[in-house]
Amino acid sequence: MREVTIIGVGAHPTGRFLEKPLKELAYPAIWNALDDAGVTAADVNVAYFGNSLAGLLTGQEGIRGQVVLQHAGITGIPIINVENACASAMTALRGAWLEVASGAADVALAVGAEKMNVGDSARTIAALSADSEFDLSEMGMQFTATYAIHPKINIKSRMQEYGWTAADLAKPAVKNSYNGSLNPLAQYQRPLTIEEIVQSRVIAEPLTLLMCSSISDGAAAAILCAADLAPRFTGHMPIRIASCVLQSGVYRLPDDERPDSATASAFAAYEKAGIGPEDLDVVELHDAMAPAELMLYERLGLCAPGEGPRLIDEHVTTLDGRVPVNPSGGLCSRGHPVGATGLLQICELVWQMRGEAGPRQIEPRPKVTMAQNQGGLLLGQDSAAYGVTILKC
Amino acid sequence: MPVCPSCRRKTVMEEIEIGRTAKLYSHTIAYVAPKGFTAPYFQAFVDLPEGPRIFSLVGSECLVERGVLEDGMKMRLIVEPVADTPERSDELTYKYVPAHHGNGSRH
Repeated sequence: MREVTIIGVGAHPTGRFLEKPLKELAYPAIWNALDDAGVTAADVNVAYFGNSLAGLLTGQEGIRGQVVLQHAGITGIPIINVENACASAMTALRGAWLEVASGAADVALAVGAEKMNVGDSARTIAALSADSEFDLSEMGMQFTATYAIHPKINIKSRMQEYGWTAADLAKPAVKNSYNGSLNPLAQYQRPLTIEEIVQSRVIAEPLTLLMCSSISDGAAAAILCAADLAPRFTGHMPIRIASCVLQSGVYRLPDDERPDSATASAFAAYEKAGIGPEDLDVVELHDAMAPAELMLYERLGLCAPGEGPRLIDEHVTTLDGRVPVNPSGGLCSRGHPVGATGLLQICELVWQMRGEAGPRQIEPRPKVTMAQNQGGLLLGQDSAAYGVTILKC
Repeated sequence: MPVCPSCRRKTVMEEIEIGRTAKLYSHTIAYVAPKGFTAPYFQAFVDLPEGPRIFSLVGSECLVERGVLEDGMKMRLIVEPVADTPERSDELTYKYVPAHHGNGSRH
């Protein structure tokens, strides 16, 4: 396998853009990435397009990527459409990475784009429900509630077991809303307090509105290039993909003793990259609900079980900490346009590694970084897809 | 399912009848509901004595209030329409209610 570098990234701001169709969201992200890389549309050998909801929300079920990419001038090459729920963009990145690593392509484009605001949030939520095994949503399962009580997450039982308080659950959102306030591309740019998060509307006990990621429109793109060819295009510091792991969930009975799938995928990525969690300088992770960040700290090996709130209290994962988490604002503040999220995470890591993150720049500049993205819910207790990418420079 | 989820070998899976009891594994009250369902409503996972841990709604005879359910409590199987809308009134599913509820009785 060849060494693969990311030579350009681009994103559309995340937010509510009712008037913009999917192609108008994706176009600036793609061209920002091309321009950032010093690559023309004609230089791109292959493109992977990640999206989750356009089929149900706009009716564009087939050939989503070709429709969007033709508008951006990316034509006449292999275009592969990728749907993997909230992990669609990381899945697209993995496809592009494999193309270049294998030698099949020299320059590959990975795009994630999602338009969720269609003027009817009930339709959007119904479409999101189709990212769970259909039987579950048809029988009335409410997605937010699963974070509270689902056996693999079960925030409620963690509160009992570890003595976590409602304030503890809010802490990731406090931290990430501050980070988001420093990110001009974020959907929400106002720092929140513990009190307003805890006292916001209850969605499913103990989760409140301001602990939840929101309905977002957005897009992100990355240009991947064989490491030895990168200097032809760009003067940017090359950022190497040290590992890119994708795993589906597994069917679990209650007595299943295999490692959790988020843990298994992260540790597979560590092993392939030749590092451990202690080597990470910054992490973007999948905080679809704020308290999930506390749980993911454990699963990614950043702390022992139950110690999540302490990592925030002791400024380990804040912007000024040893391993800042979600400097972009994460899913709750930067926003969660589901099929774009994995590449939005990658954009943030690249900007941080290059020292281009403006007021939220982490010092010293991160050299080893990780993006963790997951999506979908299967009957049998696991998420459908777990994607983890480790970058080095 | 023609493949065993544990060993992942092709096999003949035996269908078993489940009993009428379960233990409440976890529950919450959701204040937002998808189309066809009325919030607030309970969401639950129950453990069946036969092995599986499954998602379940809670029977409509059970008052939706904090303190009505307690994790670990014994539950009893009932059958009723899955959703609250007339279009789905002939679509039946399993649900569970606290075992101490009498048949058909309401709070």
